[in-house]
Amino acid sequence: MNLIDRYVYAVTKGLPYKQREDIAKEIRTLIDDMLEQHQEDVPYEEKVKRVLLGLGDPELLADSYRESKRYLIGPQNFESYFFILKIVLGAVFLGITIATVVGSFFEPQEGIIGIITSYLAILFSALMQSFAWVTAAFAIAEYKGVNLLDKKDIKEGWSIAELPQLPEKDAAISKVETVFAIIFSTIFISIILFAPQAFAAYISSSPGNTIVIPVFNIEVLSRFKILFVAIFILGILKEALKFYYGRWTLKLSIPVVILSVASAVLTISIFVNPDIWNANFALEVMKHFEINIGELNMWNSLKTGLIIVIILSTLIEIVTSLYKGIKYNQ
Amino acid sequence: MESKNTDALFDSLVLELRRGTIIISVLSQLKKQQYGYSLIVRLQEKGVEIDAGTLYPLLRRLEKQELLESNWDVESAKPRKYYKLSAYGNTIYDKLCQHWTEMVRKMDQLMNEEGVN
Repeated sequence: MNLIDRYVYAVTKGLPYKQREDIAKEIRTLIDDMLEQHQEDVPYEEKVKRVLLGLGDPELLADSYRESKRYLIGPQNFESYFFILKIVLGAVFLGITIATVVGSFFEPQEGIIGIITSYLAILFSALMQSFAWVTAAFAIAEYKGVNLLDKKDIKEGWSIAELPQLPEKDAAISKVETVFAIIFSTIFISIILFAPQAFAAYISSSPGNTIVIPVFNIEVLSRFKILFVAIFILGILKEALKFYYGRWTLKLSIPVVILSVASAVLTISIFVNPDIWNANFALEVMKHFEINIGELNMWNSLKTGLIIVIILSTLIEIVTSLYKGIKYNQ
Repeated sequence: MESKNTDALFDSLVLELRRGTIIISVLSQLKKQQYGYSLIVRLQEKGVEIDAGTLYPLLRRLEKQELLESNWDVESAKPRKYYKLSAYGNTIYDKLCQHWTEMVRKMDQLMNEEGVN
């Protein structure tokens, strides 16, 4: 009996919880029936062994009970997964390296060993995180894709109309552009997260002596870290969509517009906050340049200008992506 | 010399052929309800071999596809899950049979043609 229990356990242990009991009962009865049929005159134990051998490898039996495939990312998505993974990991590596090098100028007291240790620690955890997120995103896509495919099969299968159009030259989205966009936003987010002091005015007052005036109020800025990460994720999502479609079409334009608007709203909501800026920035810069008070107004209008630039560039992106999407739609 | 290889190849070709007939064989025996093992025995008596490891998961899949209905018999000593064609399964089975007959006719034609030449 013990052997039978072990066999049943071996089959069911890897199956979905809901089905386990049902399948266990089924197999148990099956083994019982097979034992009864076994006419040869051998001890019970021997009979059980023969029956179980006849049923075959429990792993294989479990496999045929399990209909869903057992992989996170299937062969059809693996190539783009690997491509995106390489870009993201490369960009994270580059971003953190740059952020560390820049950041190390500001904390010289830490010493080279300390800098290298924290660099390796941050690098390791950031690479792990990016690996996990990219993989999770693709696994979800795979999972959703499976359902989509099943529905399609029942519906009508493949039709000629589904053959992709050869992309017109202007409709194609350059992969290089996508790669650069991902790299730059990764570098930007790495600096914001790990070395926000790097955004600063660097004024050399005397040879070998550089005065650094940070643009942001680091403390306030760090309160917005989550928002920056959100903006970063929206941006990556947008690039991933562009990469996936590879050409402009309305199906791409609409999510691109939505993502652009969302990240613009988030960006503006960060920068309208007056505390985020280093309040003394303008004054300190002026002190070193000995320039007059008129420049102070310029600093203020620069801040407004930044918001206008964000709005304008979002508008331009919306209009161009809609224009291209409609023009090259199919 | 190569007979062993040829045998293996032949076996795999036969397996391939049989694979296409498994579902229709199973459906054909389920006008009246059967449990897994009785179905194996029934098919075996009629010369169709199918092992439990293939049949049991297949029955489950067919049930999920709503071709079969099942119910557990808990009254008797051994709990048994009985399967039987659903109304939908019946229609599908009839259609499959038509296809099968048609296919056999065509295959006969093809093979006889070969024989004549």
